[in-house]
Order: sequence, then structure tokens, then C-alpha cells
Amino acid sequence: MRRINKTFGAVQALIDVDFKLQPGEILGLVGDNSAGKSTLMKILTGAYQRDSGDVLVAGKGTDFRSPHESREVGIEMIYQDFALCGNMDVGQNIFLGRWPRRGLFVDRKKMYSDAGEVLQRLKVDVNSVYQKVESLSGGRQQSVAIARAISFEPKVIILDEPTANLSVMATERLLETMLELKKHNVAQVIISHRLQDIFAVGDRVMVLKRGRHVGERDVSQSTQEEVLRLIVQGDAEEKTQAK
Amino acid sequence: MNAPTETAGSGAGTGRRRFEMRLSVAQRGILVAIAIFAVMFMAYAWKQPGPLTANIVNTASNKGALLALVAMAQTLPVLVGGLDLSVGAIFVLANCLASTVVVGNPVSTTFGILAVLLVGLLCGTINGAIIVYGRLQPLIVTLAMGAVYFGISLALRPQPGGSVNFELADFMTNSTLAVPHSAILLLLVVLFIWIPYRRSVLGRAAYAIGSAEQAAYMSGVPIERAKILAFALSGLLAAIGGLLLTAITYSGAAKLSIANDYTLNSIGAVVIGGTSLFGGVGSAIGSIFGAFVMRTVGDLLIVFDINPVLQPLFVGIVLLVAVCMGSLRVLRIKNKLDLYR
Ligand SMILES: Nc1ncnc2c1ncn2[C@@H]1O[C@H](COP(=O)(O)OP(=O)(O)OP(=O)(O)O)[C@@H](O)[C@H]1O
Ligand SMILES: [Mg+2]
Repeated sequence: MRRINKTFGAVQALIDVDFKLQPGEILGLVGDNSAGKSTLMKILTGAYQRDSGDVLVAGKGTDFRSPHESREVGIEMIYQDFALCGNMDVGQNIFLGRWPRRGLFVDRKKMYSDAGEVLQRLKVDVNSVYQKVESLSGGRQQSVAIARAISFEPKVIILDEPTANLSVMATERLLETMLELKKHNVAQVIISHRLQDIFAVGDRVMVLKRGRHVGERDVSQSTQEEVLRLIVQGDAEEKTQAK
Repeated sequence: MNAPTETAGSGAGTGRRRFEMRLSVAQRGILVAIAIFAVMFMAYAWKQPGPLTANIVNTASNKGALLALVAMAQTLPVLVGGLDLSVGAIFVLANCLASTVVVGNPVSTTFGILAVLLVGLLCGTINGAIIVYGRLQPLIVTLAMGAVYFGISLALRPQPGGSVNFELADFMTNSTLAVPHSAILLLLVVLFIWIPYRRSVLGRAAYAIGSAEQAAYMSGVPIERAKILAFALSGLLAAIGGLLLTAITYSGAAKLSIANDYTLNSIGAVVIGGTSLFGGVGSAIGSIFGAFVMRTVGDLLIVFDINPVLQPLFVGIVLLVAVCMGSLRVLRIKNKLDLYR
């Protein structure tokens, strides 16, 4: 993504932001609240439209008008504001929008058994695939949303604060899953306020501040303190360098 | 790491628990509507003079089926989270059109029926297309389009009248071995329209939209097609209702009171049938029984010798009671926060 700009009314949510992601890379995207992290990623998936700038996927300029289109090239995002239908059950949610079919109809038997398999593979233990999503705890809902995204077998996964609601164990399982996906050359973006998670699995961190790209660090050559400083202060010198 | 204790999907919990979980809100709604209807109908059968003849049942079924069809038509838009104020007008338009074209020899009658159904489908599709592509509120669009459809009905039939193929009309409104043909019509509509729709991808999408439209959109659910289809099928169902009305009255009439009555009563029937006005929960089958309940109220008043003028009053009371029964879940709910979802 090159020189992305986005305004919401009077708010300049993104100002000339550059963003790059390599196959198999895990990028941590950090920044204060309302720095523009979610907005940047929503522009990548086509959930929001950019005001200016380019989005290139595998070198080709793209113009996704909806998340549907970006999904087709293998970009999957787990939205911070849950993307599940509360009063439908777990099985239907895992396959939301791409229910297995037999002819024109939804193949319910296959849907529930496949959903069970997906959950089992990702070690998400919900009681039953027939349970309503709104009756699950917040963390479980998040796990279901993650399971759902992964089951698309995407090339790029964007996780928007995936660990915010997860227990220590569930977080660990998620991080393991991320490393596993990395082995399959899946590129991942993790937006998180928990630097330790990013430092545990990430390759690179990118810092946004008030809609600007203010710095980038290799995880192996940086410390959490340094990144934290970037988040809080930004960095005048970095700002020019980053462009 | 620690494997899940219970394998998701395979035999979760005991049979009973499974049963409760599978018995969705919608299914409970249907059962409540059936129960109310059964009680009311038994009261009616007990109180009315003389034995319950096939004829009486047939008349009741005909009246009930009219509203049931319009209520089913209302159910689909409600499931995707909008009200349709034009179902009554489409019903009347189909009636006026049918009284003009469903006449003559079997061939022309058949084409007439097809024309009526197509017009219903078209009206619904127009509603849906305006709502989706104009990004407008269903309520406003269908209010306006309802007026348009009623205007067309009036143009078609300024004075009540017209005719219909009598053999067809009699066949539609009679009964065989005490089974009313109008009830069979309802069954066929359920079997060949509602159940396939429910099971289809776009039908499921309709529920997802009613449940959380944003989430459905983000997940790539075909929102636009699903909404248009919901309104289109709604128009078709209302037109089937209009056909039945023509068969019962042998004529067509563009009366605003009929259109409005059916629209409002259909909303009542939908609610009694356990469909949530917020969308995402419910079933057209519930609406059928909801419609029967609304209709039986009128019959009950007659056998209990209450001034029929009071009918709206009692219908209103039944509606309130039904809605309250829906909110009885307040008493059962463990977490009050659930109420505000
Ligand atoms: N749909 C919207 N309409 C109007 N303004 C928006 C919208 N979405 C985001 N914004 C604004 O854009 C800015 C960036 O928001 P964004 O959600 O990207 O922040 P974030 O970095 O994800 O923050 P957080 O850490 O709180 O998730 C904020 O000022 C926000 O108010
Ligand atoms: Mg965010």
C-alpha cells in the first residue's frame, strides 16, 4: 500500500501511510487508540474506500470495493468489532456467506460436521456447533471468529486485536496457530496493544501515530521499550525516513 | 495441548439438552401460536350451535388462508429486518388483476394465473430493488410503493366487479374429505416455496442479514441479492393470496380498507407467530398460525354473541397478549443484559 490517505469528515485518519507485507511474514501493527490501525487494514480489505493512494497485491494494483472481493484473492480479516451473527449458531457462523451447498441448498449436515472439524483442528472447544454465538463468552466468540477466518485458507490474515479477550491459554494457542500458518507461508498482520505477543511471534513492527507512519523495527533488533517509545513520542527523524 | 473435553458437534450433551438447544426461539414461537390457535378453535367448536361440519371448517380455512398468505408475505421482509407496508396493496392488486385475466378456457385461465403471480413477483422485486439500490428504509419504500400498487388496482378496477373462472374458483375454495383445499394450498406453499427458500443459500443469508447486517456484509454474504429475493417472494406470496381472494369473492375490488386491514393484520400475525420484528428470528409457518389466531378471534365473538363491532378491540387484545407472551422470557432470562441486545 502506498501513500494511503483517508479522512472521515474532519478527522484525518490516515496521512500518506506506506505499508508492506511479505509472504510468510508476521507484522505487528501498533499505535495508540485511534491511530488509524483498523482503518488502514479495512482499506486493504475493501471494507473502507481510500481517498488516495495505491493498493498493490502481488505487484498488481487493486481496487477492492468490498471485503468480498479481497477475500477472493486470499485476504482475510478478523474485525475488532466482531463479524459474527449473534443469533445464529456456531456452525452457521463458521461458514457465514459460504455455506456448503448441495445444488441451490445449504448442506446442513456437511456444514455442521465440517464446522466441528475446523473447531477441533484449531482446538477451540465450544460445547456444540448448534450453540448460538451470542450465548458464548466474548473470548470464545473471538476464537470462533478466528477459526472462521483461518478456515478460508487465506494467503493473508489480518487480526485486529485478536488477543484482547483471550485467556493466557487461548492466546498461546493462537500464537502457536500463527507460527503454524507462517510455516505455510501465510502472511499475517496482528494489531495488538500487547507488545509481548508481537515480540513472541512477529518479524517486524510498524508504528502508527495519529494517522502517520512513524516508524518500523525488526523484532530481532529492537526491544519492547524502544517500540513503546515510538508509540508514545513518535519520531521526527523516523517520519521523514519512513516515506 | 489440552484437547477439548467435548468434541464440537458430535453428540454434545444429553438428548434432552440437545433437544432444548435445537428447539430454537422460532420453533417455540410456532408452538405458542399453535397452542393459542388450538385453544381458541376448541372453544369455538364447543360453543357454536350444532355439530362442526366440514362446511364450517372449510369457510374458516378459506378466511384463515387469505390472511395466512399475506402474513407469510410479510414474514420475509421482517426476517431481513424491515416491515413491508405494501403486502396488502399487492394482495389487492392481484385480486383486481385476477378478476380480469383469470377467466375463460383452461388455457387462458392458466396464463391469467401466471400473469397474476408474475405481477406479484415483479411488485416485490421492484420494492427490493429500490430498497437495495436506493439504500432506503423498507418502511418508507413500501409505504410509497403500496400507494402506487393500490393506484394501479384502482385504475384496473374503478368499480368492484369482474369475474373469474368458476370451476377454478370452486375448486380452490372447496374441500375433499373434509380437508379444505385452501389448507392444502397453504401446505403446498410451505412445501414448495417456504422450505426450499429457508434451506437455500439466499434464505440463510436473509437470516444472517436480519441477525447482523454488518457482520453478514463483512463475511461476504450476498446481501443485495438476498434482500431483493426476500421482497420478491413476498410479492409472490401476496399475489397467491390475491388469487385466493378472487376465488372466494368471484370478483375484484380495489378497496383501500382491505389493503390496509391485511397489511396491519399481517404484521400482527407475524408477531403472534413468533417472528422477531428486529429480524433474523422467525418462520413463515409461525405466521400461518398467527393468522389463524387473528381470524378465529372474529369467529369467537360471533359464537359468544359479542357485538362484531368490537372485533378490532379483541384483535388488539389478542395481539397484546401474544406480544406479552413473547416478552415473558423476561421472567426466564438469567441475564437481564440479554434483553437489550
Ligand atoms: N466509520 C468511521 N466513521 C468516522 N470516523 C471513523 C470511522 N472509523 C474510524 N474513524 C476515525 O478514524 C480514526 C482512526 O480509527 P481506527 O479505528 O483506525 O483506530 P485504531 O488505531 O484501530 O484504534 P484502536 O486501538 O482503538 O482500535 C479515529 O479518529 C476514528 O474516530
Ligand atoms: Mg482498531
